[in-house]
Amino acid sequence: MSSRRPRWGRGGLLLGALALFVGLSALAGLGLGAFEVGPGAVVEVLRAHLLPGGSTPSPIVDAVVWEIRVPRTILGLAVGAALATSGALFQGLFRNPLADPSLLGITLGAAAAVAIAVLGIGMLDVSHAPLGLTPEVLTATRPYMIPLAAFVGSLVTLLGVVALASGPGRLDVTTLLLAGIAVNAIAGAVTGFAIFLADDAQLRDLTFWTLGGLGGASWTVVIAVVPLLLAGLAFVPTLARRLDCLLLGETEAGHLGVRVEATKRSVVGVGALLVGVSVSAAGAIGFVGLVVPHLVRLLAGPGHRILLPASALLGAGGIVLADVLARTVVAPAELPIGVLTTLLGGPFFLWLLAGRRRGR
Amino acid sequence: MSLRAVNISVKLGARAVLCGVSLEVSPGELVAVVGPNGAGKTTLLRALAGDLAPASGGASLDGRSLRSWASLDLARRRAVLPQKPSLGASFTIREVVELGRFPHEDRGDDDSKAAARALATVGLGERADDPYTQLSGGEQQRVMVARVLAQLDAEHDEPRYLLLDEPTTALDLAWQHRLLRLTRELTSAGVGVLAVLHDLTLAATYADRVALLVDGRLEVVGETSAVLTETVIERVYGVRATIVEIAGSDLRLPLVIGGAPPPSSPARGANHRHNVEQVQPLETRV
Amino acid sequence: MKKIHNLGPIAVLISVAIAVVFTAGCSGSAGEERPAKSEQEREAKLRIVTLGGGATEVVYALGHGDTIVATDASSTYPEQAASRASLGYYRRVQAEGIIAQAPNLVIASDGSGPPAALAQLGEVGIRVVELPEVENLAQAKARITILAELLREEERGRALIAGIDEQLVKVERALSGRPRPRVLFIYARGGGTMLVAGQGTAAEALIGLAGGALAAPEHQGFRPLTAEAVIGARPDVILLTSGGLESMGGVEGVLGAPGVAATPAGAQRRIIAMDDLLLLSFGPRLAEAVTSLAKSLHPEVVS
Repeated sequence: MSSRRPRWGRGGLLLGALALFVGLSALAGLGLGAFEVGPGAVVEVLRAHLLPGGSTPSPIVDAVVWEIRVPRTILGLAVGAALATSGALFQGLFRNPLADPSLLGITLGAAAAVAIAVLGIGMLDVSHAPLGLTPEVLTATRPYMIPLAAFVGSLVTLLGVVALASGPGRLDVTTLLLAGIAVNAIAGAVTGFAIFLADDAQLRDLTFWTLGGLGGASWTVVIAVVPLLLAGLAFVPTLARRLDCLLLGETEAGHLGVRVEATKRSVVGVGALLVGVSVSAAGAIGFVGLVVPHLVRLLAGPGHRILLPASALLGAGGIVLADVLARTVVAPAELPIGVLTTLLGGPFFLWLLAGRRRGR
Repeated sequence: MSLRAVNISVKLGARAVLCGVSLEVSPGELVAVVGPNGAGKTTLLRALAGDLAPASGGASLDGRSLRSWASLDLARRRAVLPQKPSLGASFTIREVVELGRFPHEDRGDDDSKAAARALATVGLGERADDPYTQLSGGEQQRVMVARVLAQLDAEHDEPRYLLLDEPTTALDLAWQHRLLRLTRELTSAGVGVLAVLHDLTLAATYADRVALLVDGRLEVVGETSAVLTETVIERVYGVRATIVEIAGSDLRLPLVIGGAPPPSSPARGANHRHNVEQVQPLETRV
Repeated sequence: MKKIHNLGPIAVLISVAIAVVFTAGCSGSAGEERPAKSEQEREAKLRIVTLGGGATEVVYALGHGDTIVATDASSTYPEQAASRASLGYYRRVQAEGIIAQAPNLVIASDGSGPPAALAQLGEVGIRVVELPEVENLAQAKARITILAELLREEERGRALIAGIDEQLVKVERALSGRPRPRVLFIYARGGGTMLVAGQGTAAEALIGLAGGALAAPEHQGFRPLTAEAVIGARPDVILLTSGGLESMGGVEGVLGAPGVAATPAGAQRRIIAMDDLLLLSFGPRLAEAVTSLAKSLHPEVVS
């Protein structure tokens, strides 16, 4: 037994099982919804768009599958993978299994920016054409203001926190965490103030944004967002082994030949890209970044070569599955997906923890 | 060809913790660094590991300043065993040891074989799949030793160096000696070792040379028997010692008797209440 | 303890995914009307989805209530509207949920969304009419006109507007020369958050029509309530939505709010509450809302 390498075998098995899970979730995402489409019709639509010479069953079925479900599923997969991966990255960097993107102030920074944007748009007197912008331009750009604000907000908070934590030539992780906590408090206060000022409609905008959702998915969004997320995710495997070494401590990792400062900056940068872009497209979907890597760690140990891809897969499948439920449970209305990710993930997580406590 | 500190001074704030220390570790020798608490032993080791930037002077490995080494190249040539390893993640023992293979992973060496060899060396080969976090302090230390062994397990012929910071602290008596014998095997294989040691007997037993640090200065460095004399030990540590010749070997080991320093000695921590006569050194003679 | 090398949890996840694929698929389709199949059928019969309570009321008032197949959560009047399939909150509808109702016309109040969902409706070929915001009398009439033209009920639309005008003129005549009591509109939404209506709000417009004057008119839109602002506004009457009154714990709760007790309204316990939708939707019941509020403000004149 001792000559075998069960963790690797186990890891491979886990990745395979998770890939199956992602596949099934994607099938559910494409096949299920408020509008009834048979499985055959879904396949026909996909074939018509992906292969030459197909024909779609009807324009309406074609639109439901190709214009609504496909982009929504793709966005869900990408955002889920990105959020879970960024959680795993930050937990590795901080050597703290409770770390997640919100710990650095990124999520709340984005939320604060969104709150400001929501209020700002409300106060904007379109008829006065501020900044020389015509009412038409303002009306046309309004839908993109909130995602843009979220992205800018996450980027600005991250750069601020990193600048605070940067000494001469090195990034101090403890200061980074403390700065994140402070930024969180400030962003929370800004959001709280905005919520206090908001009228009912704005309040609801803020609340829905905070819970997140994939309702804004369209091919435009997919094309804008998914390549960025894929680029970020593609970079992640190169960090895996270095993060393993960092678990020994920064000095020890340095002795092993890890370029510690470069690694920390890469992790923070990639993590922020993944979170900022995800948040701008789908709002602040909670719990995924925290719990998914934790689940994987319970199943496969802390090694990042398994942890990172497995988290990406579990996050991707989990979000799509939660979105399917969000769309179908109260159809034709829709639940906020953040409610479902927490309701599904929370008890599952507790169950795993309980299992570990019993020494199963 | 050596790991060399040249005239290194290190300041922590305004305090000089290391003043103009020069020391060289050649391939195949074991240099023990000894000295009282706060003498700068660990600081010297960290300067030689490249962890801290000296205020003046510098460290070099095989003639090249540590700063000019690419981090991976350096990691293939020297390993460092930290004083207190902290690892909270629930890796298995094998996974921890395999971290030592990080600098070699792209080079086609057989990493898992190297890790297995290292684990067998520290007597944990059978427990490779146990979680690291559930080991005792001494066992964790052995795993970390295996990790640096795995890091130094390379096929290249260039000189390799090992820096050990109080490696025996968590180990029981048997393992203290096993570890240092292991270190001697490494030096026989051409590895240059610098070990910070508290136990003068261990230092005298295994080291080729001893460097004695006091208050950030290199008091004396040289052949073990030349450095660890009764006078020096009394002066530096403020304790009485006697040098014991081990029958049937060429070992001359300092035996600390404890007790009062001579009145002329300026050494710290002097304790005059002990009665030297109560100690019977001959009984302990082997 | 050995480490967990148990893939059971992943098996559970996969089972959940499979369960969702199959059971949600069945339950999702079971209770729903099947969308109309043929294009002709679609053309022949109007199937409307309304988003926003005011718009829904107008469609009903124009006699097309029975063509509404689904509506949003804010459409609570008339009662039949509440029995239609609910699409949830009108700012966050899902395109597919609407498509599943097979409508051929979606009437979307200002703020309906998300924009991507409305755009997707357009791509499916569903006509989406987005209405301008309605916060005063002119906009309320304009909305009726737009919808009347859309539903080819111009006659009814004109009658509706004429009815509103007639009633408003009656109220105006009765109130002419009367002093205008200062009305403070408190918009409470629970959790201790209370906002005060300023200029440019629907509340201001309604209060003006009902023979009152907006207290605290120096700011635009809604502002958080403070004790000093309340006292400085010197309201004779405090107006709330019924939901708001409830959330503040009834009249006593309002009287206990910061500063209220020190105002004339507080001293005379003149606290008025009106149905949320009636008060703020500016729909076909606008004249009714104005009359009702005018009665409360001027009980001696309007009857």
